[in-house]
Amino acid sequence: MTYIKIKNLKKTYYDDPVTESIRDISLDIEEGEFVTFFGPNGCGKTTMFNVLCGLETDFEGRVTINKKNPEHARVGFVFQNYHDSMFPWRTVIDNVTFGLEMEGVSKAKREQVGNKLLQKVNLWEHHNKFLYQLSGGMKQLTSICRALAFNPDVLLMDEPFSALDYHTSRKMEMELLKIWRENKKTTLFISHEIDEAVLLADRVVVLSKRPAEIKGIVKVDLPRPRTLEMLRDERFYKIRNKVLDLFEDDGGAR
Amino acid sequence: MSRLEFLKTLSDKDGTRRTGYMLLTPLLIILIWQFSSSLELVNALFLPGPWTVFSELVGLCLSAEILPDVGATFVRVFVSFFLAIIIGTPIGMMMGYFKKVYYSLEFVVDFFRSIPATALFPLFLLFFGIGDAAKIAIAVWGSTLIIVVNSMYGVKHANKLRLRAARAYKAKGFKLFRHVILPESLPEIVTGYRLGVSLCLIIVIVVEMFIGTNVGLGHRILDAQLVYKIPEMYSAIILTGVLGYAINKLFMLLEKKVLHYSGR
Repeated sequence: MTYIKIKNLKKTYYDDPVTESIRDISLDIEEGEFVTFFGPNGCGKTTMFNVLCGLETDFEGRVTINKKNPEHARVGFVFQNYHDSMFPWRTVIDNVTFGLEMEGVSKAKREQVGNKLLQKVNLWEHHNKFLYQLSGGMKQLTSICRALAFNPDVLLMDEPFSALDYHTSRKMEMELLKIWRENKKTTLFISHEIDEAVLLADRVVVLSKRPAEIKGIVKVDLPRPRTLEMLRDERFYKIRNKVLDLFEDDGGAR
Repeated sequence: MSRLEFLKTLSDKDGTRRTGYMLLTPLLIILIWQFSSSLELVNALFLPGPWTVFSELVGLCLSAEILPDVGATFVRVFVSFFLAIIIGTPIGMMMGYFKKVYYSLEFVVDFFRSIPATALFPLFLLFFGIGDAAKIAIAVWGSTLIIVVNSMYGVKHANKLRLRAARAYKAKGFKLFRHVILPESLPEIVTGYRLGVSLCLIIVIVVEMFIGTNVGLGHRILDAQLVYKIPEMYSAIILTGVLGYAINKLFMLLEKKVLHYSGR
């Protein structure tokens, strides 16, 4: 059954100059699906995420998440910039439970949820530290925990690992897949890295240059659980090339 | 040197070198002072040697004669600064957050900020008389404007992505203010406090000099000058400096403790 329904989503900014950000996007996403979005820079992916998390309410078309309007849906947002999107004056555990605190959940209950998540990703020993005492990867992991602690209908991840080095981002991808296997949250993931986009996803949505349109959707039928070894698999290459063909169709890579 | 590195040097355990550097310039100034006085480069009536001034200063402190002056000035600075915080912070933060408040107050704040508070002496004398109220009111006026401007920019400069993240997690109203906007803008607000307290001290001293008072460092400076008790005048000036420096240091300690996240 369709869990997230995006129907004829259009968004134009009537500033000076007028910018057509999203031309027409329609997409159905199943519950528990992992969908990655792959497209050139500034193609309106972030605008789409803003619509999905209810921060952008002025758009054309229809968007529902779990039958709710985006403003009423629970969204766990993981930003690319883990430094500026987290709260440096709060400890790790207080960052993780931020969303729950805003909702008025009791401290005991919040900490129970937060501690459980931190234990799962081996960050618990750092729970009383401040963010600036952690490495980049740990900060982003904290940010993912913050999103999950909110018990979201959907997890939106906007290039979460692109600021990390190669080794750390691969490690984080595996960590993310492990978390995803356990709780099966519907996840929408923007990526600039074709390997990442393919390795994580059930489906890769290839977007055009701005104004954004869907150029094609590639199903990734690699078995799960995914491993880093799959990056060398022939099947992986085939899928990757399909994505690349769609992407380069309008000079997206040029 | 970044702010972080700077604060780190303050917590450096091996501070001998630092203390050395810190003492270097003051010692140099005293040395030059001593030389010019020994060689009689300046009239001893206008600038007595450091020894004369420091023994006068010690004498004044030991006899506790000057303590009421220090106390009176300190109380005036403290009260006016406290009032300036209470008035200036909310006004500035609202100006930073609400465009309507900003547009309504921007002209007034920037206009009066360009006028030296001390130029408004006559006005304050008319309204508050020549008692402590006028002295405090004028210091409040001057430092409030600085605190307003810094509090405003503190909120205006709040990281947009952080606010977006907070809103994505349904933070709004007072909770958004208390848990995100306030801690986010506090470092810049506190910078305003530091500037504000220094200005309070300056205004209080000047006002003590020129509006009648019986007690206060400014009063002591001017009185000593009028009767040519020059070593006493310098003692009071040095004490004013010490007071200002101590207040500033206190603020830095507070910043290091409360605003540990600033710039990180």
